[in-house]
Amino acid sequence: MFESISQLLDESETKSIPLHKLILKDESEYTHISESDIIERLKNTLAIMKQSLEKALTTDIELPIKEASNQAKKLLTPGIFFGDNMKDAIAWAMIISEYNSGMGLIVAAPTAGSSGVLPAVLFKAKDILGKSEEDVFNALVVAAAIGAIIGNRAMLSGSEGGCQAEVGVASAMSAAAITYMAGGSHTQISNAIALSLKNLLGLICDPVAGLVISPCIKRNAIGVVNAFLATEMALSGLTSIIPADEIIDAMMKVGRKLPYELKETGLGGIAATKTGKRIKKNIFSDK
Amino acid sequence: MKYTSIFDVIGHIMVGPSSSHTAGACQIAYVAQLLFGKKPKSVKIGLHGSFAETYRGHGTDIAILAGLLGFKPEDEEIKNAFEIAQEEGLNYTFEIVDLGSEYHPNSVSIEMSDKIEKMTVIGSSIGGGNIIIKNVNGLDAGFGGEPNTLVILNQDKIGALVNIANTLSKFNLNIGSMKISRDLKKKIALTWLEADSVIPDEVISALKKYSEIKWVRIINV
Repeated sequence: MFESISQLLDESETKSIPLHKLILKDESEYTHISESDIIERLKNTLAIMKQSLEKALTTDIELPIKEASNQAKKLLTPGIFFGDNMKDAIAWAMIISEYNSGMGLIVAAPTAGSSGVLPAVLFKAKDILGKSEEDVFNALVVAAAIGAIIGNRAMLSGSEGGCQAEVGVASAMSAAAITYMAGGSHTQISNAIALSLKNLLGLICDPVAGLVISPCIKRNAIGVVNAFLATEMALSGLTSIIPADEIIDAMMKVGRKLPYELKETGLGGIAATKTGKRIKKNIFSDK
Repeated sequence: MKYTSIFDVIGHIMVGPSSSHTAGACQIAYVAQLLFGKKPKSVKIGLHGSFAETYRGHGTDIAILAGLLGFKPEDEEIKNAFEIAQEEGLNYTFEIVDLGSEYHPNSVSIEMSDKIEKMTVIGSSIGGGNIIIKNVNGLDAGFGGEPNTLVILNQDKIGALVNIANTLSKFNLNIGSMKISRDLKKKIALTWLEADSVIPDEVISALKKYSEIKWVRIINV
């Protein structure tokens, strides 16, 4: 396993092994599972991601918070300020996220609450760049390894570190994946991670009524836009003056400092607003 | 390290909306019915802490019922659990309980019974879909959903462990870890161990030959 982003990228550089191959080799050595078995399992993971988007697109989803139901599909319309591609991408992320909230089958990436970001970014980047299934697979491998490094250096759950540790991490994983897919350099990958994570640093986890609905579903959309934004910056040659690993460590410290009310308890943020409380009361009143 | 595989990060294929309140809840119930060893006719489900607070919105109740019906966290039939329970004639009740502060906020007590037997299992969902079974019929426990786990209820007497260890070695199984919890009054012990490789079903009949062994379950999830 890799302890830092720099260690992973440096090792790939010095050994001249493509990033995804190095990650698969390391996974096999560490877990004693053959590379072909790992690849097979990852392909299944990718297939489930694809299936959840396809099924979500054709399913009407009734959520416990009625006014939050069937919002995402309204985005399947031509872009106004956004181009059609970006509008599709945010729609897909929210559609998968709604599907998750309505008990659909999804892949937690890294969590169920942030499960819309990575598939939406991967599939849309594939379309935009005209890449193959194999390129998407390789990008998924990179995303997973980045997620594991962030998880080990910091955390991957709203209850431990707020939404920055869910949608924030999903966004950074996605940015790294598509920078790799676009043929970006190791420096650009590192910058894409740094820039995306930095933008969502401090994001709290404040689910209304404690449910994975509001603001979770729409925050999946900001995770997508932020991933494309950071990638666009990194591929244009912009750099983060603070290195990725140091931002991850900062995220960990911020996560620890966030008060209990802002870490998935449904007691702070928008959950604690007048309307948030009313919604909670309505849902659980006949308990 | 908390995450020792890339599958810890993107490997959890599950029915939403929450890895702890849906997937973990289903997994506890799934393991509970494996421990019971047969389909229960009647179940009494006690929701504790955060499970009690938010079970409706997260589908915790549906997920627990689904697990008891033998569905795993990735089974899309989960959402039909109430209907399936009715079709299969499974009687169920839900109640809010306070198991005490020593239990994780996401905990559930599941009492399963048929005409002959009764078993109560308490489990906790500790995050990211991971679980721990904390108590079986009043005996402390501490096993999760790791593959290749063997759980045994035996009379607490000299030689019981030797017989278990010898049987496993006959099947060429290496024991990675082993723990015991005892009820000194009833003179029974719960033994759970993890093997390094897949435990074949034949181990059960081999162990049952010993009179001190009451039941044996392979938990492979």
